[in-house]
Amino acid sequence: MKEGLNFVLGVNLIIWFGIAFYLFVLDRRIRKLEKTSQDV
Amino acid sequence: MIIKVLLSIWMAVIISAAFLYAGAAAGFPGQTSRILFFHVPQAWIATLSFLLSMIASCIYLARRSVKTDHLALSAAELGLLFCILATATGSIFARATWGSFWNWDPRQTSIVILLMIYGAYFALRSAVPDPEKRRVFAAVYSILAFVTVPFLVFVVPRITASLHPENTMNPAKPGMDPKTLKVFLGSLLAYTGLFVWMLRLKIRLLRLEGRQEPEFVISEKLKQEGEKG
Repeated sequence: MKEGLNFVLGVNLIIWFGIAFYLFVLDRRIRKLEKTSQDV
Repeated sequence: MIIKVLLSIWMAVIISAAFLYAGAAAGFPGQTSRILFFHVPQAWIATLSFLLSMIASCIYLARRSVKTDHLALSAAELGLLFCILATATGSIFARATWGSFWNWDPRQTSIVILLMIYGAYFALRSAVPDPEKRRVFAAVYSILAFVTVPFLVFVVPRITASLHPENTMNPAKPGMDPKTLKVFLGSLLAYTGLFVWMLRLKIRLLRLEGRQEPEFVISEKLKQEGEKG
């Protein structure tokens, strides 16, 4: 049971860090676009 | 940036605590009660989003500011996303405890109706080509759609016989394990932080898209001409 729980925990953490990484990348890209559109 | 990094770490801590620190609730098969730390905050964020969308729509109708329309649209989108997530996690719980992913329980049925109501919000937005009319129609629809939320989320599942656990896993009721309560409140906080982060990203994205729209270019030109004149 403990191993199963650790596996689910691992999967959840991987999913979360994937989402967080995507949000950070998106944030960065939007900031770049905002800068570009302000310059124009 | 620091807040976002802290939020990422906080969410990872909460996920770990949900599996390692909090114990499984009595009366539920195996470890199924742990879904509480994910399912309930998702449902909370969905309700919060729909409420925010309704408030922003009211403000839009009063002031006709595009910013509030962006807020209403972003909140409705996130509300629908978190509503789908809550339905999915609820189905996983249903499979483990009730034996089937879908049982047409009053709670499941009411959430499907809610998903369809808010799905229609986006269908309406995409069906009206004129931006001004689209915003007005969407704002009115968002207000009307929210009228059903308290009824579908809080009233229907409580006035009909439901398999959905209320007393044993409801944090508002006394008797919840202190460890479970701590992780649950931490999870609510983490999900709210994630919602704010996603909402701000979506609004910024809509603002950027708005700058590409011809009507925005025209209004900006008119504004510049007005300033010159």
